[in-house]
Parts: sequence; C-alpha cells; structure tokens
Amino acid sequence: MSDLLNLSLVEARDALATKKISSVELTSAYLKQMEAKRSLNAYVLETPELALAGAKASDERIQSGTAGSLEGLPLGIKDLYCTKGIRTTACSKILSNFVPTYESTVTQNLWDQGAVCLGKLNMDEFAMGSTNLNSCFGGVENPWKRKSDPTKKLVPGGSSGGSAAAVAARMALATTASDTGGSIRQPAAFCGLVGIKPTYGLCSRWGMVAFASSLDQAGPLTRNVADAALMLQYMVSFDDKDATSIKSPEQNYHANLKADVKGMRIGVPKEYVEGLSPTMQALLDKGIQWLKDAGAEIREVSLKTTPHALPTYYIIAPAEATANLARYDGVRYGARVEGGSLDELYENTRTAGFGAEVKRRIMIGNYVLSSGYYDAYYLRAQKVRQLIKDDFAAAFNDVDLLLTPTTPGAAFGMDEVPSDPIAMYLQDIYTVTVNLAGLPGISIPAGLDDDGLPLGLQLIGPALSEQRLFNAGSVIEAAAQFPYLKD
Amino acid sequence: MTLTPEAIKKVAKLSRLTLNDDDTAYYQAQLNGIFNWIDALQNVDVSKVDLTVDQTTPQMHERPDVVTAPNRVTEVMSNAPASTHDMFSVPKVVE
Repeated sequence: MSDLLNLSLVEARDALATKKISSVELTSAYLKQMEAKRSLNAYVLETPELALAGAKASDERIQSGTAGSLEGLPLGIKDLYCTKGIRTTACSKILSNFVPTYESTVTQNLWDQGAVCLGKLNMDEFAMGSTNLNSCFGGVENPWKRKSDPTKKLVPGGSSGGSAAAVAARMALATTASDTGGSIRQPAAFCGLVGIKPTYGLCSRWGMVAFASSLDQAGPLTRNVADAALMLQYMVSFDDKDATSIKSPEQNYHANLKADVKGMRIGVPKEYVEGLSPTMQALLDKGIQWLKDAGAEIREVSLKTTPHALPTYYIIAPAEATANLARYDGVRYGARVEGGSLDELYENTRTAGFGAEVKRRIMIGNYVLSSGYYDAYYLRAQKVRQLIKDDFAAAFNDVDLLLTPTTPGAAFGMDEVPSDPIAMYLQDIYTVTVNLAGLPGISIPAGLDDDGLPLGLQLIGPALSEQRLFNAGSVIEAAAQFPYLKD
Repeated sequence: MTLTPEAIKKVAKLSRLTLNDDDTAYYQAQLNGIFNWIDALQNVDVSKVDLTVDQTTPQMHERPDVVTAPNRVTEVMSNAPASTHDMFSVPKVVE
C-alpha cells in the first residue's frame, strides 16, 4: 500500500496509463489512509462510495482507451468548491446543510479529465484565517512534528489547511485549494508542499464560495512541482460564467516543464528581507545561491509599497466579504434561525451561523463601506492597491521573477496562536501583495528549520508567467532535495 | 480613531448581527486595534492615483444575454429552509 501512496501524481498517472496499477487499487489505498489518519481532521466529508465508483469507471475507460488526462487519480477537494449533490459548507455553520445543485467549473474540469473525488477538505470558515482553527468542524493537525516536542499539535496553516495536511499525510494525491491572501502558499510552506496561486482570472471562480471576489483564486497543492504543473493545467479554463475569467493561450505546463533559469533576472525585494529571522534569512540566502548556481542573475529590487499591503488587504477583503456574505440570510439556502420579523430572522440566523473571525471581518467591511468612511478607507485602499500594482509592474521591467520567503517562520502550535488578530494577519505579509496585484506566486518547500519543520520560498512572476514559475521552482526543488513525508 | 460601543452596535446592526454587551466590548477592543493599524494608510500619498485609468486589470468579458438554464425551480428551491408553493417563506413583511 505504501508503494501506491508514495507515488507522485505524475507517477500514478503513468502507472495507470501503462496498466501497472488500477485506479480501484490506488483509490482504495488512499481511502484506507484517510481512515488511518482521520485524527488529523483533514476531511470534513469522505465520499468513499463515490470514489470507488469513479475509480471503477476510470479503470473501464483506461481499458477501452478513452481515458482522460487525469484518469483515475484520487483527489481531495477544498470544501469551498461547490460539488453537485455533495454537501459543501465552506466550514461554516451557516452552510452546514447546503447541498449544491451544480458543480464548480474547476472541479468539473478535473472530473471531465477522469479524476476521482475522495471527499471534501477542512478549511478556515469562508477561507478567513491562517491556521484552519476558524472551522466549524474544528482545527486540522499538521502531519509534521517538532523534533524537540513531537507531541505538540501544530497548525497546518490556512485557510487551505485540510487540503495541505491531506497531501502531506498522503491522504490525497493532490488537492484543490484557494488563495485570497496566502491561503494556498502559507499552508504549502507549513506542510512542506508545492502550492501555486495563479494569475487572477486564470481559473474560473464559478461555483467557489466567494470571500473577496477581486482577490480569490483557485490553485493546487501537491508534493512536487511537476504535479502542480499537471494539476493546474486542468484546473485552468476560460469560463463564460465568470466575468473576470481571462482568455489565455492554451498552456501545457507539464510538458513544457524544464528546470531552467539560465539568463533569468531574479529580484529579491529588499523590503521583504528587512526584519527576517536568521532561519528565514539563511533559507533565502540558500535559494539565492541555488538560482545563481543555475545561471540566474540576482538583483536587489525595491517594492516601496510593501508595508501598506496588509492594511490595504484588511480594508478591501472585508469590504468584499461583507457584500458576498450578505447572501447568507436564512431565506434561500443554508441554516435558518427563526425570528418574529424578517430582520430578526436575518439577525438570528447570521449571529448563530457565523464564527467570530467572520463576524469581525463583516463588521470591518461594513464600517469601511459605510457613509462618511468610504472615501477615507475603501477608496483610499483601492488607490493604494493601484500603487502596489504599479510597484510590481515597475519591478518586472527590471527582473523576470521575484524571490521571497513564503512565511515569516515555520508552523506553530495550535495552542500558540496569537490572540491579537493583527499578529495573526502578519502571517500573510509576504503573500498578500500578490493577490492585491493579481499576480501568480508559487511556494516551494526549500528546507527545514532547526526543529525539523518545513519552510518555503516563494517565487512571484508577472501576470501569466506560470510556466516560468514552474521552471524556476523546479530549479529550487532540484537543489533543495526536500525530504517529503513518506507513508 | 476610536470606535465607541455605540459605533460598534451600529455597524453590527448594519451587518445584521446581534451583539450582547460582552461581544460589543470584545469587538470594540479588536476593531480599534485593527483600525489603528489600518490608519497608517492615511499617510500614503495617493494624490496622483487616478482609478479610472487602471491599465493593469484585464477588461471583463461579456456574454450574450440568453437563457441558458431554464425551469430549475425544484433545484433552486431544494435548499430552502422554508418554502410554500415553490416560493421562499419568510415572516410577514407587509402589515
């Protein structure tokens, strides 16, 4: 069984195509592993019957020569993607009984290629958080342990904590995730995985439970760069149902993957280096050296607006969340708490249905959009966002990619979460700029800290530079020789 | 800027959330901390930014205005917490 679980997505695809293994065997191995690792709380809904039926159908298609490009590969889906006939909650009590009658475009794309659904994965409620502790199903345990204290339960990061823990603990070959301010890349760094947030608009948002529509973007979490390239390739599509979906030339990220940065100019933004911990500085220095050794030219660049990114994000994201979450009113779907009047019904439903972090962000959003404060907060934040975009555009006149840390440090204990929300928000300091500018960013597992926990390096590129990110990411991957968890 | 308990209650009302006095004090402390931090943006010079000439956001596309998924009443109603005659039920609104 471990042999099956230790295959990468690409290896499993090849083994299925050459009939060395069957999808039923592979899927059964994953279902057993999900059972064995249930205490991590990565899945909030397991769909074993659906998975086995899908695997059987895949095996038949492989036999008859009609296999899709992801045929028979068992994947986990973040519980933010609407899945037809399968409960989808965004890990909020308010959606605890919601069964979508339609399929999200991204998951439909994966099923169209023959992928198999293992179940739905835990996350921070409505994707708001960096720990996965803001879930109505409880937190997720990171499968990585501190050498000094192996009993300490660590967070997997968030919001895609279930997606990350599942891939790291080999409870899925790969998973879908989503990233509004770092929700793919930070869990990737904490769980020792590859995670890419693509260019805004590359993946359709249709059928993804909305948090902040101008920032949300789908992406995969995988155990290596080649798997990420393969997954993303089939998640991407132009979609009439999402007005912000972009038409980009068709890409074959996986076939065109080449660990190569020769002649590439890679910038290290000096604002990202200020105040870095010695461990992260050492990791970044290694990354710089690896890229230099592979023929890249490293340049220092400046992104002066960096300190403004988080405050800007915490105006824009809550403002958009407020508008998006207004739909949860107890009338058309979701949980309902009765009241004497319609207003009472709304208030009772929302008060009981939303968790503390979601309430906090809804109130921030309503405040910054309210009369008398709109110009001072929301409009100003939109202007600063433009300055951030301009800053990146200027930097990319000079360099092809940027190299930064993904997070300020390694995963922390479930009982070590700061009580001050601002301290928590600072987790996203290196990732949030990319969402504000609509750019792609990838986190590559690059090493371990002194306590044996994974650390990530982030590469940021201009819009639609995903292939370049995969190629440069492969160089870091080859040099880092990251010790992925084995079964 | 300092948010008073009244301001917190007002924004909770706008958010259709009920807060008791303990909740109000809790969110007042947190939101004040967050807004003090956000207020650093007031010092950023945005005088030269013209949001009407953003060159970096791709144009949103439009699709033909045609019906694509008609007659889905049963599907639409399938998640309704309360419904009567294929309509969502709510407490009486009109006196």
